[in-house]
Amino acid sequence: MVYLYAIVDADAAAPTTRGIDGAPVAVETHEDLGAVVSVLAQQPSSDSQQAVLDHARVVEAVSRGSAAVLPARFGRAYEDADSLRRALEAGAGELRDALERVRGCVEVGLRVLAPERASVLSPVPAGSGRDYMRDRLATARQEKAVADELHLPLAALARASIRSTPTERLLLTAAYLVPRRSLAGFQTRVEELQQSRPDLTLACTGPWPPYSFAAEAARP
Amino acid sequence: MDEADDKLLAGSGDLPALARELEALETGLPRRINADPERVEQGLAQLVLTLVELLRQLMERQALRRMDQGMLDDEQVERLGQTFMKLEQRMEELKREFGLEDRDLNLDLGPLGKLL
Repeated sequence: MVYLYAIVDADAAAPTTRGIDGAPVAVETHEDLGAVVSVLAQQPSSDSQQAVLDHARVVEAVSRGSAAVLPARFGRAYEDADSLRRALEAGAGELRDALERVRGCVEVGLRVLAPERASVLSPVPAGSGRDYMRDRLATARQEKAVADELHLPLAALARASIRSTPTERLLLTAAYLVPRRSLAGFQTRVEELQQSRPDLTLACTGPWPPYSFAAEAARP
Repeated sequence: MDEADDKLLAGSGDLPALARELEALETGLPRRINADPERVEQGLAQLVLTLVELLRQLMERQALRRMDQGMLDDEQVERLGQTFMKLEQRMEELKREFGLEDRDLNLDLGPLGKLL
């Protein structure tokens, strides 16, 4: 089977690093598109931490060597070279658009954690239902305002951004598609925001291959 | 770990707490229930309470959104508020009873995101 790590330009060089199970990594081309692949004996399991790390390492290596990379999610594989080529052919338009979108960009992640709410463990005071609801609404509005205050200036510096808020304590989880040349400026902006809100826990990570901006497109 | 450290562009505040929160997200729903008889009850409780907590949060978000849009009258707001208060209280009691913490009941709501 043919295992897919990423979609690149057809003229991208294959990384010298080894792939999953030590398999060599090659670039299969279809017109102007390239698929970074390994031929594997069987589908790797996501329970294998080693395989997941191998996948990430190949994507990182490709990403360092090429201007435009669409990382595939772990586990995407095709029966043989023919079925890979058919998939590339069918998805070519979308893949080209997506490659242009991420060209020259890296992904930067941001997570913001709110201070622990003191009230969480104390029993809810008996009050009116209306007060409770008003209180919750005010809190939700305030959290939204804080998340906006951090997210909007950063989104303005990025080519694209994705935002979500997965838990009550995580005020903001966001991914930004940042042109490489703007990365230093982006980082400075994060540090400024950090200084303006010392009450929040903030972690900014990267540069990553643009996983969050490619997952759909790299599913030919 | 070295590689992960390299990837931190900027960080401040209680980073270990953030790491715990993210770890809890990863493992929020146990993949398997522990079959050890001593622990099976807690495992089941965690599974059930996680789902109840998810529903509670979704319902509360929905109610707050409707309230924000002025779609609820005073009496409805009062009734909903009482319901959510009691539910939250009961959840606290159950969590204590089964030795579970908030982060044991975290589920990634993904694009459902926050309320407003």
